[in-house]
Amino acid sequence: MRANLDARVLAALAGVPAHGYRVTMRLDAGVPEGTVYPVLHRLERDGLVRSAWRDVDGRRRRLYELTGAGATALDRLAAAAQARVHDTYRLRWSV
Amino acid sequence: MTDAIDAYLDDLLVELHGRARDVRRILVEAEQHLRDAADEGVRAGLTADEATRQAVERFGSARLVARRFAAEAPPVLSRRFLGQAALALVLLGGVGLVAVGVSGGVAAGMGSAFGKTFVSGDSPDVVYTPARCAYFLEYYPGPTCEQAATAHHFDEVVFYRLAAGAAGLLALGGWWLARRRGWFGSEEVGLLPDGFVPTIGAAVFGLAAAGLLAQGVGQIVVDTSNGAGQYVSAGLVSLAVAAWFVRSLVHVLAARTGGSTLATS
Repeated sequence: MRANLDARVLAALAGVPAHGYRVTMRLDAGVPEGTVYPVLHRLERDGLVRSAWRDVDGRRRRLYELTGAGATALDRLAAAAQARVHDTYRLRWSV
Repeated sequence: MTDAIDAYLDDLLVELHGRARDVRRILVEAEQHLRDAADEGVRAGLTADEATRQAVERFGSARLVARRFAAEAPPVLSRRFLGQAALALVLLGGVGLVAVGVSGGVAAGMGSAFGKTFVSGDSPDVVYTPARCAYFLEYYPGPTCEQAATAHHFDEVVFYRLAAGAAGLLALGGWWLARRRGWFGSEEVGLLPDGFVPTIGAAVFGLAAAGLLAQGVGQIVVDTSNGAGQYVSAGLVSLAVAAWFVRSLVHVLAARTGGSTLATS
């Protein structure tokens, strides 16, 4: 569950930096929006994400972006998720 | 006027624990998020009030969000937490020692007003051995052994307490310095529960006041007033300190429940 949310947050940041509100919009709901921030802060402490205050559309915002380690972690999580999907289908077809 | 977002942020501030700069960052991000969400709701055709209400609802309750932050935070028994607990104990101990010192002054005043026997006189049925009597008379020459003993005890009551008060001032000085310099993580917000020090202080000093006053007054009523002043002096000071802690606690609780005495705009 936690790894799943981590992967979704990392995926929401893939390729383009975003502030917290934008990250929650990119996620497909399902969790209270405020609970995404503790995940962002932990990922930042873990070195998977970095953030800084920037002016965006005339407002000062905390922008998040993936670090190199974060991109690697996202690839690994995506590969693991893909492997789970393969296993599920293999089991289904083998019945 | 306070809107629903301000009210939510107030609740969130009360619930959050951690370093001041982290708490401030969380509050700023939460406010930006909520105002973005409300603006988007208005653009989608909602009234401002409804858009704000929905934004707050989608964000999750302040308690839930704060809990998630706490769950994601480093271990609770951090150096900073232990430092704050140590600082709280130093504050309580320092206040306690200063209170003892003040009670020494009060005892001295009672000695002047009601006589030293009231503060440190032994019970009339006490019998002094010749050796003990000689000891008292050597240091406190006087017409009777009883008066010499009273003078000896009086000095002990007053000066030992004043010495404890001086130690308390040193402890409070150390506490003040530690807070000012930010040692032991004094920049933390809410690592200890709100009102921790006033609650402990009110309970400890309240119990001490009750016990000491019961001892002193009970002694006067049931037996003799000799020596009752040492308990009454300490009891009265304990009562004053307990009242001061209760007042602090009421302020903390009033702030927590929104009963601030500051004018609202």
